[in-house]
Order: sequence, then C-alpha cells, then structure tokens
Amino acid sequence: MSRPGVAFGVFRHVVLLAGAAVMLAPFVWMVATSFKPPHEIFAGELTLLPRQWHAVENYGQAFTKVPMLRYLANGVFVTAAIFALQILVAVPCAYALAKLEFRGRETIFTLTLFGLLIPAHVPAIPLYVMLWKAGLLNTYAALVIPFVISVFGIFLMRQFFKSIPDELIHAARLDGLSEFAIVWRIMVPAAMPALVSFGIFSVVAHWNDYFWPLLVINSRELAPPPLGVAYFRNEEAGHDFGPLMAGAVIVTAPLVVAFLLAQRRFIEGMTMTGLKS
Amino acid sequence: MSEVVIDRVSKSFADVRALRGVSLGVRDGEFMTLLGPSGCGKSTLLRIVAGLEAQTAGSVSIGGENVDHRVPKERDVAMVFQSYALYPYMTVYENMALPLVMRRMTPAQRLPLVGRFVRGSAALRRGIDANVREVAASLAIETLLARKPAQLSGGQRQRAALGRAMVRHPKVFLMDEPLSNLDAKLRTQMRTELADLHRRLGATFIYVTHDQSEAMTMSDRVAVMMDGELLQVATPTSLYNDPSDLRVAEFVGSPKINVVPGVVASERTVRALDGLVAVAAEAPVGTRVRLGIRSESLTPEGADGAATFRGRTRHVENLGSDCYVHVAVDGLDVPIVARADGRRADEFGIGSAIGVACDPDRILLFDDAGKRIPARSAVARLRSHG
Ligand SMILES: Nc1ncnc2c1ncn2[C@@H]1O[C@H](COP(=O)(O)OP(=O)(O)OP(=O)(O)O)[C@@H](O)[C@H]1O
Ligand SMILES: [Mg+2]
Repeated sequence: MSRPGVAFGVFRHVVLLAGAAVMLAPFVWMVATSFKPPHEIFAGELTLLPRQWHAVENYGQAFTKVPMLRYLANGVFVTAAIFALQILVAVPCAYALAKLEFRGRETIFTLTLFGLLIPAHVPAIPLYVMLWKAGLLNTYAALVIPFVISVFGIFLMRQFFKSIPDELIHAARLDGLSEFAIVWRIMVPAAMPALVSFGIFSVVAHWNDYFWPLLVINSRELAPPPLGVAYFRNEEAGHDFGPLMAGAVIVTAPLVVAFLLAQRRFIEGMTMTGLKS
Repeated sequence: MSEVVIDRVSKSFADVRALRGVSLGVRDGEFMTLLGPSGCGKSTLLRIVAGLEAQTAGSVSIGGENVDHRVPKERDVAMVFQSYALYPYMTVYENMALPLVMRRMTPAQRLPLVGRFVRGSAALRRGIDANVREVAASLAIETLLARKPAQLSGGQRQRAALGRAMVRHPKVFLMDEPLSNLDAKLRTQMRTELADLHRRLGATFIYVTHDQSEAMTMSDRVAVMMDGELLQVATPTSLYNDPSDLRVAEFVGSPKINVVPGVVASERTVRALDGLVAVAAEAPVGTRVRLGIRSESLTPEGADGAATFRGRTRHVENLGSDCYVHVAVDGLDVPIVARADGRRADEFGIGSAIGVACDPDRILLFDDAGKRIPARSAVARLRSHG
C-alpha cells in the first residue's frame, strides 16, 4: 500500500474507533456503575473500576427487590409471540405479493409501502381505544396484537422472495405441493437469512419497547423488562443507582448475548436488506 | 396413450404477444423438440402444456383428454428446468422422493416425526425408497443421494433433476433447455444419454432448445418457432434438406446457409449475382428470388473455370475433416461459405481470386417473403427427358 493509503487507513480507523467509543461509553459506564457501592458512584473523581466491589449486593437487590426474572420471562414470551405471529402473517402475504398474479397486486404493495411510512406512535391512540373496547387492556394480548401485522416484515420478505427463481415454484407445483406447502417448505427455508434478520429487528424492537407497555399495562406481573426497570427506579431504588444499573445490565444482557451468538447471521441480514430484485 | 395436442394456443402478456395461435400435435412416445431463438415463446408454450401458466386462447389435451382446467399436479407431466430447480435445502434423496411423497401419502402420513406412526406410512415409505433408489441407480447417482444440490457438479445436478422427473413415471416429460448450463463436452455426452433415456422410457418428450445441433441430434421431429409462431414441424432430415421458410433454413444447419439474391431468368435458369444456375423455378420469369445454398453444395475451385460465383478468399476455417472457405463476392455483404475436403485447406491463399461451383440439385429457392418456391434442378430434368 502507498503511504497516503496507509495514512488514510489510520485516519479511517481513528474515526471509526472514536465513533465506537462514543457509542459504547454509556454501556461501559452502566456496567461499571453496576459494580460500585453508592459512595463511589457519587464520588467526585471518575474511575472505571470500583475500588470496593459491590456487585453481589447490587445484583442481589436487582433480583430480590423486584421480580426481575418475571420481567425477563414476560419479555421472552411477548417478543417470541410477536415474532411467531408476525412470521405467520408476513410470510404468506409476502409470497402472494412476490409470486402470485392477481388483480390489484401492485396497488396492495403500494399501500404496504405507505404503511412503512407511518411511525409506530401515530396509531397508538386508536389502538388503545380498540383494545379498551375489546376488554384487552392490561393483558399479554394487548402487548402482542398491535404488532402481529408487520409491514416491514412483509416488505422485507417480499423483496427476498422476489429473488427466488420462479422455476423453483414451478417445480414444486408439478411435484404436487400446495401453495401453503410451497410457502413453508420451499420459500421459508430458502429465505432463512431474511427471516433471521427480520427476527433480529423484531426482537430488538419489542424487547426494548417501553412506550407501548407503559400505555397498556398497569399490573406488574405483566411488565416486560424495560417497564420493570422503570418501576424499579420509581419506587424501589430511589437514588440507589447501583442496583438500578444492575437491573439495566440484566435487561440488556440477553440481547447482547444473542447478538454475539448470531453475529455472522446478523451481518448477513444487514447487508442483504439491499437485496437484488 | 400420451399424445399431446396443442390447439391454436395464444398467450399475451401485458404488452407482448408471446404466442400467436400455435398448433402442434406430439405423438405418443415421440421426441419432439421446440427449436427457436431466444424470446420466441418456447418456454411459455412448455409452461402452458405443464399448466404452470394459463393460455389466453386455445386448448391443450394430453392423452386425448382436455387438460385446460387441470392444475399441473393432475396433468401427469414432469418438467426438467434449465436451472434444474432442485430444492436447495433438501438432499438429492429428498428432492427425488418429494413428488412421490406428495402423491402417495396422505397429509397425516406426511407429517414430520408423527407421520411414521400413522397406519400404512412405513410401507409407503419403503415403496418410495425402492423407487428412488432404482431411478438413482439407472442414472448412476446412488452415491450422491445424501448430498445437497450445492455439493453437486452441474452434470450431477442435471441428473438429480432428471431423477426427480423420472421417479413418478409421468406420461410426458417437458424439458426446458436442460443442457444449456453444462460444458460443451458434457453436453454432447448428455445428448446421447437423453436420447437413450427416451428410448428406454418410451415416454413422450417435449424438449426446448435454441441450439439447432441439439435439436437435430436427438429429436424424432423438430418444431421451429419464431416470434411466437410455428414455422415448420418436420424430421431433422427434412428440416435440413427441405425447409419451408428461409428463416428455418437459416436457423438450422451450421455453418449458416448462404443466401444469394437472384431473379428467375428463364424456365430453366435462375440468375444469381453474375452467374446462371440451372434451376427450374415454379415462378414466372422475372420473379425476384433468394437462393439458399448450403456450403456443402458449393465447391471452391480455380477462378478461371466454369464457376458460378467469383470473388476473393477472405478466411479459411480448417476443421481437420473439412475446411470452410469464406469467399467475399461483389454485391454481397456477407461472404459465401463453401466447403472443401480438409486436406485442401492449404490451397487457398487469403486474398487470392477464387471461383465457387454450385450443385444446382441442392439449391433452395425462396420468394421475397421468405416462403419456399418449389424448384427442380434443370440438369436433372434434362436428363430425365433425355
Ligand atoms: N411473465 C411474463 N411477463 C411478461 N412477458 C413475458 C413473461 N414471460 C415471458 N414473457 C415474454 O414472452 C416472450 C417469450 O418468452 P419465453 O420465455 O417463452 O421465450 P423463450 O423462447 O423460452 O426464450 P429463451 O430461449 O430465452 O428461454 C418474450 O418476449 C418474453 O419477454
Ligand atoms: Mg426459455
């Protein structure tokens, strides 16, 4: 490599590292704080590692003062239910939009694209009213139902299905597969990377969602993790930031672990959303 | 019986008329090839026969029964695709077993895990297993059954795709350019194998290709298509020697047939460029015609002799057994190609003057629209009179 090339490479990495540091700093601070006793948290100087370890106490409190495991279980249940139902709806819709010929297909697809433009918070009040009329407020259903139809999921899967050759579907029809069998046995296995990346987006969004649970849930047994941490802050922790940060770490950890495990798939999914059509 | 009758089938897409009233009868057990340039509607026709696409007009019957309203599964046809279309996440075995599983087993018996406890499913599975292994053995792919398509070479994928089509013993095989993704050597080898397979199975084959040599070497009959229309249906021999249309003559045969403009000069002669050829055209004197002359009816010779055409050697293609001499002739944009014995290849110096003699027996005459004009060699007629 030539000298300007080297200089540019160094420069680029410095910029990237700085960006990464800015992104990571709050997390690092969160983890560090979760290990510290209260007097060190409020001490005048900045230290990364605690002088006196207080991890056991902080994490112990996070698990005992509030039903943290219950919150985590709620989170797992709700995100899994949302994702499963999203697939159930999005995959057949995407197949129809990508591969079946019927009148109005393009119009419906355009409407789907419009759906992408509407921020999630816009229909919040009508949804709230509907759930209230249906008597579903403060249930798991209230956490799941509004997200079952994912326009983004339909769009993403449709783009991916477009790239699967028609000949594969023709072969399946000749082999005697029904349209449903084609969707689930031929298209879905072939679209695994797209499904995984959609899964990551969906799980991250709904695991971290605070706004919607805050609106529709008021009994603590139903709270997903972010809401649980909020309860914790309001009533239990007071100014005790150690256990609060421990709670935040516990809530964030599953996603980080999942990301590390699925890193390669995740990158694949991210780079694939550009999709050839 | 499994003859296929295609009756005045048309197909229009939004802005394209892909097929314009195509009628074609394929006999029971026949190897019929649809031959034509890219985009002429071959695949569309094949998909209509398979039921994968609905025709705009016309009807299709298989084995004497109208199948217009039957879904692909109920037509008892199998198809081999250009891309092979093997299911990427299944093994070769699963690919080949799937058509049988879908046909022979009930939905309950097909269920994963639980299905094996449903009555009768074990016996069915054994039957399917035997069929798959038998077909795999006949294609010499038994050792590949556990592999996924991605782990196979092109030729092996091709066989697996054939196997998937063969396991359920369909009445009709539809093949859409199945050899076009193979390398040249394998392609020639597979031609022979496909022809053998056809003889062995005795099934009706409809084979699509744009490669005229494939069509000529394998088929019982060839249907030449162009721009959504059928130009001619004939055996390879008569297609080559007796084409009904100039486009057919140009498409079939390699090197491409020479086309020379001419005029009917008398009852027994046609003037082509400067030369006179002894051909009795069944057309009035003065009619403008085009002469189709295959390179094997042309012989390069000295410039002084009684040559029909004269020009300069442009290029010599030496194939060993034969050589093709390209002769640039005044009044023609493309050189005339004449064949000579390969041993003569060194006689022809590039750029030197050369003459080309023509065998009037083998000249094909076409009118301005490209339709064939009946003609006889006047030399032959003189002889038969004399
Ligand atoms: N689904 C479709 N929508 C619109 N036009 C189509 C569609 N399928 C085929 N066509 C058009 O119909 C014509 C015939 O297509 P077809 O695929 O049958 O050609 P082909 O003879 O098989 O060509 P090739 O040798 O390249 O496979 C083409 O002009 C093509 O653009
Ligand atoms: Mg085609």
